[in-house]
Amino acid sequence: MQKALVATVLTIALVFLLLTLLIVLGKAWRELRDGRRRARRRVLEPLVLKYAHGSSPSILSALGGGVGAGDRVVVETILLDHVSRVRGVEHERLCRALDELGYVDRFLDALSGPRWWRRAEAAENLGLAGSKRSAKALAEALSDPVSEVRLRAAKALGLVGGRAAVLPLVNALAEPNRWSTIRIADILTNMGREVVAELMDAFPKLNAHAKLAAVDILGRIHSLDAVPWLMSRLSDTEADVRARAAHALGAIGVVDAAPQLRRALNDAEWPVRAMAAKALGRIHDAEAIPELCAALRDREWWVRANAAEALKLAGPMGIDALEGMLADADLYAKHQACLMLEDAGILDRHVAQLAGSGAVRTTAEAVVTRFIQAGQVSRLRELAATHSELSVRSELDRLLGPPVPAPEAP
Amino acid sequence: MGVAKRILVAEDDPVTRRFVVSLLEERGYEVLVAENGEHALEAATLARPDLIVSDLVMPYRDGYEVLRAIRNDDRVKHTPVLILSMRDHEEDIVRGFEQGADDYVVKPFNAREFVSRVRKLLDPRRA
Amino acid sequence: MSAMAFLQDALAVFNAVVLFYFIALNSIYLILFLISLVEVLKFVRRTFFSDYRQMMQSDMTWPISVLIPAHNEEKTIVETVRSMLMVNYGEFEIIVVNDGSEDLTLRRLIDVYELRRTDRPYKRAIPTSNVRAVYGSLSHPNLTVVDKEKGGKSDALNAGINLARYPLFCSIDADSIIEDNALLRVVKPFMEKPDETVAAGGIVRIVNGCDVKDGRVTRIALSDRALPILQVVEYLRAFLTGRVGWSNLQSLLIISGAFGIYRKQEVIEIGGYTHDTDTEDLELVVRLHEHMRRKKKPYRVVFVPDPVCWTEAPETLSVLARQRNRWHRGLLQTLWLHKRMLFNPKYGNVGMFAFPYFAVFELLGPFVETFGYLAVIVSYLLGILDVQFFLMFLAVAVLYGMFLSIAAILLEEISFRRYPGWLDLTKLLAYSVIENFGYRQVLSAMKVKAFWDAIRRRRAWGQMQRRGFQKKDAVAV
Repeated sequence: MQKALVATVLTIALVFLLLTLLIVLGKAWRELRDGRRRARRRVLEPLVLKYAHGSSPSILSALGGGVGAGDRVVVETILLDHVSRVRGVEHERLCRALDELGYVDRFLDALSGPRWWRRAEAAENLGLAGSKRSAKALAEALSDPVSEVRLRAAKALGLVGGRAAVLPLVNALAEPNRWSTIRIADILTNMGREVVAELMDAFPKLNAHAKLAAVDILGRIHSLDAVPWLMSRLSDTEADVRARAAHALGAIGVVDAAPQLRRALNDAEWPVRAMAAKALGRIHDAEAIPELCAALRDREWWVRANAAEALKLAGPMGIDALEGMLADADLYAKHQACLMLEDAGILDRHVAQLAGSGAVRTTAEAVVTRFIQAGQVSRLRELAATHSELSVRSELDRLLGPPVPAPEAP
Repeated sequence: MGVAKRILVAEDDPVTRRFVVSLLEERGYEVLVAENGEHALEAATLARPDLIVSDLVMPYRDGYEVLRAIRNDDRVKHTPVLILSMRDHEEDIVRGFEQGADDYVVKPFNAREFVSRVRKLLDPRRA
Repeated sequence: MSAMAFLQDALAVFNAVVLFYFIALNSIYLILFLISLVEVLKFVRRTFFSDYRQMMQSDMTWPISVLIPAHNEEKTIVETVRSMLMVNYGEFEIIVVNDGSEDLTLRRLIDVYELRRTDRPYKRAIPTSNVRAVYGSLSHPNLTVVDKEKGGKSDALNAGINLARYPLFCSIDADSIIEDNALLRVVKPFMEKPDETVAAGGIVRIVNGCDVKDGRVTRIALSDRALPILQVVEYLRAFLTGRVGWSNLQSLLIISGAFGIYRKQEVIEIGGYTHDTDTEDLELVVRLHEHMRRKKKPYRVVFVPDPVCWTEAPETLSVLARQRNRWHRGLLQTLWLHKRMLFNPKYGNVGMFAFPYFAVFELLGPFVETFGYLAVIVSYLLGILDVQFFLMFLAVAVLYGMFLSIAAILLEEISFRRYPGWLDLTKLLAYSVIENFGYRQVLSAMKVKAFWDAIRRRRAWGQMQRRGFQKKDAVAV
């Protein structure tokens, strides 16, 4: 027992002292190193910036011939910091500097190193350095065993750009197990117009999941070039593709697509109808108003909701159409029209006018009455109790009458 | 040539700050720095710069507040203001102009374009 | 057998139990620490600066509704809102819930932020006490203020949830300070695994001794007083070496009320916050675990070691005692309320690891500890103290504990290094030693008292009042 006790105490004390020593020495070393680096940065950064702004023909001459061994980390950090914050000629100069000083080669080497976090860091740096010649290595890194590295490589490819970068990314879209499709889609979207041609080319070979992502991306890029292609996708055999194509066309917001979208409002599948309605809302197509009103009677809630929203967005004519639908025979349509008018604040506006007089007041009373007939009274009751004007409250009370059990909700 | 124009740069990110400062000094401008919204306001009213380049997201007072305060202060309300910000959403840009900004540049930015815009705002031919 | 001999035998057995308890407890801490060490290092390596900038701009970053419940906060509410408005994040809204304040809280908000009543429609998904009005701000379109009758913090949060527009909500105490990038950091787990993550919490740090200006921490430093420093060491141990470990084991039970972010849908599914306990944040997370396990879908509750919320710690023993009393009562109430999860494999790691841990080491533990110390004193007074045992006891109770405290400091130093000064480091090291000579023992005694209070209260259940607002709601274990 005695021995065990002594041993325990000694071990703990030893570990304790070791830890303290570790902490203190580590901190001291780090402070010295950081202090030195800060001092060197103050000297070197202005020189690098001068080169970036164009005052020196090459980075080496700006730095007085070369980079000392101890300064490598500092110069590398300076270059990487600035290269991500700027675009244009200065960006190119900074990228060139990273190449000329051999740092890009170092990153490429590190990309095949043993430690995953160094590989990840290398991938990220290659992306920042915009080094097109590293596209191949980065594409290979897309199959790295560690997910963090794969992700950085993908992001780096996104930053590097160029055909060599787009292709592997588009292929990655087709591997939903490996990749978060959302992430790849995000990266491709940020690359902008240069992915459009590749996506359209690769489309037939993609699997179902990736096809949808591809259509989404084209929508988010707002690519006018893709509009004809997207319009032809509205007749794709897959309902999901048709729906996404409709959504994408709405996102791009091109009026040319309106006739086809109106036709899509009658598609057999409801997601397509819903997205067509949404897209027409984005396009503010006034000619679609009659068809949108018909869509208010659709069996599916989402189609109705999107159609109502599209009517709201179509401006005063759309609002009038909604108010007209309040008298429609279809229960669903009435209900949806009520919801949208309430949501858009139109109901509240009418209620406020109950205290007024003349034609405005008559219209207001008509609208309110239709709401009551449709059974949409909760907001009205709330206003009857809480509205700030007494005359409005008493009008509402009169119209509402005594509380009756609400009709069965659709 | 005349007296060098004075530009106030309000930016909390030190790296961007150093870049913008060196860029403008290279072109012959006199540059003052502020690290946050409050310093920016102080510097604007005390030093009366010819142009203010301001970030939006800054400590103590954000760019919109600084802009509002400048436009409400008779001493400096005519100072041109160029917003240099990472925020690129429509609402941010619209709001920037509504609050009185004269120009809005999104980060990451093109240095030469930026300088052209600065030069235009400093042009004495402006009304 | 003489009475003395019997006493000695009984004490020997008790001593063995106590020794075993301390060895077990500290060894669990050791395991958690090792897990945390690996996790924190991975976290630090995984976080590159460019991530946050991209997230801020990306449309794919989920928007957040920030809820700030407030009761009689006229002095600080404007500052708090201001610092939240300037937080680094893409799309977010702030909802201040004025929970029946009797002072000028609402008035100040109306004046400074140009509030006007709105008719913004919302669904009363969770019942709350009466909402008197909803205000929107003309100067800041993403600021909403809810004025309602007093109902307590849980009620205020529920009202905020009802109004929240976005799929995520973040609950923040009115007197806490959130760091600039905190939201970006705490939302990262949701971006990495959007289908699985239901809740995330960040570290809470102690602001006593720091320079604060305009709602921001401008200089980080330790307080001059002993009690806050002791709490800093305690929090470092609890958060960096404790919660990171639990999170990794998928058994994180506690997300600070001071700073936590949740998926709105699931919280509404479970009915929001309740008034059943004194620590509504703890109870919510436990109930979330229960709900998600029953749904049988993969999910995770994550602790993020870096986003920071600064909160004020008690500076006097009496305030500390009240705070810890409430926390412990809340813990006990929550455990009791969800006792069916104990050792229940249906509840996975939470039921099999976290619950038993809490039951043994938080529930019974304080008794073992306090009576262990008492037994030593009694033995000494009676002259039957076994010196060997006493030394062994010291070793496992105190020294082992000291080692873990200092390990926490080490972890802090190799990862986040928030205290850059040498003086502060020395203080931390010194107090990590001192912490084990009195502070922890006192905390244990407080927990024993809290247990007693909890039992007495339950008997008076029928007369239990609605708990009013309490400041400084960070919870640490």
